[in-house]
Amino acid sequence: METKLLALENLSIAVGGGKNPPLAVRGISLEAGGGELVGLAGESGCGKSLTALSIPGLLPEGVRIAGGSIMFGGTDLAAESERGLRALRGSDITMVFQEPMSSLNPLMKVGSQIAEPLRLHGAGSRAEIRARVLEMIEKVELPEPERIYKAYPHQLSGGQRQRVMLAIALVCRPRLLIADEPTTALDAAVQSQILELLKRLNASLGTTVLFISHDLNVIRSLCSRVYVMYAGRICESGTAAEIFGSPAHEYTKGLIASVPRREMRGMPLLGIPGRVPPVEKYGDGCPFAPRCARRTGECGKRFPEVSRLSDTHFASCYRVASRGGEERDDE
Amino acid sequence: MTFLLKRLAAAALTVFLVSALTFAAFNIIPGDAASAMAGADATPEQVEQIREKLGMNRPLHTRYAGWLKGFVSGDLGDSLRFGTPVASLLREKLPVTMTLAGLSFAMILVISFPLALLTTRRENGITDRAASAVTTVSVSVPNFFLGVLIIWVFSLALKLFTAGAYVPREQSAGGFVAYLVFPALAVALPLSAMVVKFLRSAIFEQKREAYVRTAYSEGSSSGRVLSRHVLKNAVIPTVTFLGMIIGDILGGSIVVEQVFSVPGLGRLLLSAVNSRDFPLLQTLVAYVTLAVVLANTLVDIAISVIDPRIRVAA
Repeated sequence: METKLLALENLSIAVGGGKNPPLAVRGISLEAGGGELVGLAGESGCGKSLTALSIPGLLPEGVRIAGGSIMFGGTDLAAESERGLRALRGSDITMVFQEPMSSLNPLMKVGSQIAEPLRLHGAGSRAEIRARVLEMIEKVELPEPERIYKAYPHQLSGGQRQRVMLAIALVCRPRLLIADEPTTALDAAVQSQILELLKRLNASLGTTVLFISHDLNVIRSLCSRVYVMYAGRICESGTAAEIFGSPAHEYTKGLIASVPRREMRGMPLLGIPGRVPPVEKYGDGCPFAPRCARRTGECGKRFPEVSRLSDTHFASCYRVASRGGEERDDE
Repeated sequence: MTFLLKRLAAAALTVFLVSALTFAAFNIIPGDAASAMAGADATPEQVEQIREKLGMNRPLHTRYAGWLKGFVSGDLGDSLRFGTPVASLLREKLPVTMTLAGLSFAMILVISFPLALLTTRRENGITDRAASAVTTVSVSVPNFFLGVLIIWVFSLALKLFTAGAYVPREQSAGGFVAYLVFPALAVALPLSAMVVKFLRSAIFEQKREAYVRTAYSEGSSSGRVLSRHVLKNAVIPTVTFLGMIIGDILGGSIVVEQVFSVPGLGRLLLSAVNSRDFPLLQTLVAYVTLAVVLANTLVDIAISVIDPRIRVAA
């Protein structure tokens, strides 16, 4: 297999201090590269955002990487110094967040905020920076670049602000863009506009995108490959067609069934009974077992090995393993 | 433009209300200028005579209207106690208190901003906790007591100045300011502690904002995040707070003047109250009110310069 731009291997993230702090992310592996749009799906509180923040080294205070590696273009970011990470942030690895209302500095003009990564990563004269910023404003399809350049965040709508966030994230032409629920706070019409824009930018700039969302509809419309995460574990991964066409893990099936669909109009919405357990109660077995209708005795004891369903489709579930998916060798 | 007009109207209304309230309060407390001037041995007839002479037998509202008319047209009248024009008394004392207040304000800025920055390097770190303990003590010490402490330390022990040896500014401008540094310190220290506490919490609040995370994700260092993003946002509520303590600075100056024998508005105000010197007191109160209102207007203008969101609203 060719080296991927991003490869998380057996990554664990610990929350809190003490001798044995609970692990919010437990040995997950994930790959993205080649201009892919990769989705990371799961309910809120399952460790998606921590996974995202760990990549450029932005974990909040008290949260740290407890094991595994984050390979990015040949270097292990988990072992990288703050200085080295800072050089990558905003230039090679960028992020877009959920809150378009508060993610911009209210006192700075939009143009100046888009210019910030360029200034931080030493790009050219003032005129050059200005030209690149204006070009970027056009690229994210905002009207009247000159006016937007001089505007303050409060003068823009939520959708426009999220476009500005995309401009900030892409102005240095990063190799990896991590988008953490970037459309969740927007209304549906604006949401689809931003998703379409993200698709076009991914195609035109070739930036690899790791797209994180709890919203399967969004992931389905955007991503070519999908990882499904539950309680700190990756329970299933595959191409979008595999995940949405033939989901193997009970959790994935439940998630897909709970998405409202047109042909189900008039019927009650389905949900997965129960909720994501708190971090300190993740346990050693399959974390989904307590909510799983098809659990067996061994589910609660040990987390199942990864079963290989195709070259691209993997699931961690005893049901899948016994159904004849080959056990994958430990990597 | 409408912003400025609105502010001016509000300022005029404030001064009017405060002076009316002062006038009313002044007429409720027992005793008046006539009995104070006549002395304890005077007969009621003598007191009545003085009262007649001072025009104090006119009804309340005409007396207030008379003062107001004079104040607005610039004729402040004569002090009942000193017999000299109020305007000349003000010319003499006002600059002293204003210099003291100005010095105190400058000290508050110089003391509190670096200290707040130092404490906010780490929430609940050692410097944060130490500063929190110091500011809590400092807030609780009344400024007149602090004045006594300052005299003890800087004058008696360190001999940096001679307490009570006030230098008039006509004699030496440098000596005048140098003497006022110490009373200004007594005014500034407790208020600085309040500003440190306020700015500290404003900075921590801003550090939790989402735009800070954006700045880090762009590759900013924590120093740059602080100087370029957090500080300016934290300064906005702090400037409002500074405007609110301007009244405290003036009040503190008036009290501390007594401790350091500074002949400013403080003494004048006390003697005006004791001798029921109505024209003098009314004018002093109006001037102090005006100063506070003016300072708060400046604060509002400063905020509208920093914060683009206010500019639109104004």
